[in-house]
Amino acid sequence: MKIKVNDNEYNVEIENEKIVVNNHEINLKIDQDKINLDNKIFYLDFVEEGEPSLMIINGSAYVISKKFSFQELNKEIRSPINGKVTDLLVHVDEAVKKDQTILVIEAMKMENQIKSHLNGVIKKISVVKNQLVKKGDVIITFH
Amino acid sequence: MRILIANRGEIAIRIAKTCKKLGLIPCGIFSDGDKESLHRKYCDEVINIGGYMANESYLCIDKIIDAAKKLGCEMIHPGYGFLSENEHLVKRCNKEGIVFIGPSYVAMKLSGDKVKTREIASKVARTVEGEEVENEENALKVAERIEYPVILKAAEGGGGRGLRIARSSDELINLYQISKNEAQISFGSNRIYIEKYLENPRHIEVQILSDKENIIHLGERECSIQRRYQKLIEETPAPNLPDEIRQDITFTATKIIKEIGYENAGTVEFLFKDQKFYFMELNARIQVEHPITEEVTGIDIVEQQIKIANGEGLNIDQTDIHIKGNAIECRINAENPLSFSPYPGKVEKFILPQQEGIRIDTAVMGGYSIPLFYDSLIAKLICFGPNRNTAISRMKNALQSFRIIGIPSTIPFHLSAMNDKRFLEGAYNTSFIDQMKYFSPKEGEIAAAIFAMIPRKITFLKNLYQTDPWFQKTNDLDHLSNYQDNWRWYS
Repeated sequence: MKIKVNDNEYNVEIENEKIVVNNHEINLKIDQDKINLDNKIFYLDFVEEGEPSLMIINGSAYVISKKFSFQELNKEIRSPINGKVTDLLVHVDEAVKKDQTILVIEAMKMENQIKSHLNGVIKKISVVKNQLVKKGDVIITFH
Repeated sequence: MRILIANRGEIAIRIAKTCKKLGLIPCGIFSDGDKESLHRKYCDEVINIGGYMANESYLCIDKIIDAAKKLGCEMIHPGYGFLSENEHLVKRCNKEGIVFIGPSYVAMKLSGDKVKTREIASKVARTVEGEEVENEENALKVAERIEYPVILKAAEGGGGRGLRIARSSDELINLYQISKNEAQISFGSNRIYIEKYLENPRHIEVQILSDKENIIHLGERECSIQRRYQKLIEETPAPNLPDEIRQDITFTATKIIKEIGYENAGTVEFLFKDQKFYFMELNARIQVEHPITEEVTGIDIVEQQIKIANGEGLNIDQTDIHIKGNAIECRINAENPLSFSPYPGKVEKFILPQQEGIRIDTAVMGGYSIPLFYDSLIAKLICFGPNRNTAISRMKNALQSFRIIGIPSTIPFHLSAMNDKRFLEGAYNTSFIDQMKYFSPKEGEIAAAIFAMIPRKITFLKNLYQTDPWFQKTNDLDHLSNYQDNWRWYS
C-alpha cells in the first residue's frame, strides 16, 4: 500500500510477519505504540485520524495520507476544536471564497479563525453566536 | 507566616515551593474547574472558590480576599495572568491589611497605563514615535506624521491582545473603530494610542528587582519567538547582542524603574532593531519565563519578591549578580503543533525527560484532564548549560524524550526551532515563525508509515466534553451570558 508521509511516498507491504518498505525488508519489533526499528525506538505519542492523519513520534510531527489524488469534495465545515463561537462572519446564500474566514471559535483564551476550504455558496449555518461547539460538530453546509 | 497563592497550575506550585523553602505556609484556592488540579496538593491548605470561567473564580477579588481571611493569610502572591496586574486587588489588600506581593497601588496603576508609562520612560529611554489619539481624524493625522505602517494599541491593555497594524489610511479608518470596541470589551477602556510599527524587530526584556532604595537587574531575556504576540521560546543571555548594548539596555531598564518609582520584581520590555532599543512596556508581575533568569543567576525571584514585600528588602546588590551559562525555555502548550489550535483533553501519560541541566515547571500528570477554561500552557521546559550549544543540545534531547500521550503539544514546533539554522546561529527576530520549516527525521517517516499500517492499541482522544456533564449543562446560553473574557494574556 502506498502511504505519503510529509510529501514523501512510501510503499509499505505486510506479508505474514514481514514488513517491507520500498522493497526493503525492515527489521522491527512492535510493542503496542512503540516500535524498534533497526535498534532505534520510536514512540507514537499522538494520532489524530483523518485524511490526512497527524502523528507525533519522538517529538516530531508527521502528516500521513493514504489517498493520493486528494480532492476536497466535502461540502461541510466541521469544528476542529471544542470552544465557543464568538463571531459569525457569513450568512446563508453568501458566496465565499477558499480561505475566507467563516467564523471564529474561541477556546482556551485563543481565537481560532475557521476558514472555508473551497469556493462555494453557504446553504446552512448550524450554529449561532455564543454557542458552544464540540470538535467534529458540523457548523456550515455548502450548496 | 501564611501566604495565599491567588493562582492555579504550574505557577501556584512554583510559588508554593519557595514558600516551603522559606518556612512559610503556602495556602491556595481552586475553582470548580480545577478540582483535579495538582496545585491543590502543593498548598498546605486550600479553599474552593467555585466557578469555572476565570471571571467567576480566579478573577473575583471578593472571593480571593475572603479566602485569605478564612485561611488566616497575611500575604497574597498573585502569580501571573488573572489579577496579577490589577490595581483594584492591591487597593483592596491595603484596605484589609494584607500584604500584596508586588508593586504599590500607585506603581501598579501607572504601569497599567501604557501612555503614561511611555511618557515617563521617554525621559530616560528611547521610545517609538507615537501618541494617544482621541478620534479618527486625530488618528489619521498622527499616522501621517509618523508614517505608515502604524500599530494601534489599547492604552490600558496588555500582553499582546488587540494589537492591529495599519499600512495605509484606508486600513487605519477600517481598524480604528474595531480597536476601540475591542479595547472596551477586553480592558474596560476604549483609549487607543498609535505608534510607528517596527517591522520584524527583536523583543528583548530586562528582569528587575527593586526595593526602591536598591534597584538591580538580573540580565536580559530574548523573547522574539512569538506567535500572535504570544511568546513560545525565550533564552538568556540574548544571543548576538554587543556587550555595550547589553550594558546600556539593562542600565536603562533600572533607570526606567527608578523614574516610575516601582518596587518588587518587574520586567521592562524593549524592541530592538538596527542596534537601537526602544522602550515598549513595563510588566508589573512575575513572568512566565522567569525560570531561565533564575537558572543563570541562581537567584530565586519569588523569594526576593516575598522579601521585598514584607519589608526585609533586597539582601543582594548588583555586584552579587553573575550570569553563568545559558538557559532556554520552551513553552509546551496543549495545541495542535501545526495549526496551533488549542486541544484541551485528557493526558493519558506524562513522562518527563530525565537528564542533566533541566528544569520542568508543570502542573500536569498522567490521567489529568486539561480544562477548557484556562490557559493552554501545560509545561515549561527549561534547559541550561555552561554555554549556548550545550543548552540547545540538552533541549533537543529533552524534547525528543518527553512523552505526552493523549493530546498533541507544541513539542514538534520547539524541536523544529531547535534545528532551525537561524536559531542555531542566534540570528532571529519576531518573524521567526513565518519562515520556519518543520523538522522531521527521515527514519521517523518510515516509522510513521509503519504505524499507519499496523493495528494500534493507543487510545485516541475521547472527546472530553462529550462526556463531561458540565459542558452539557452549560450548552444553555443563560449560564454563559455573564461570561466576558477579561483575561490579560500572559507575555
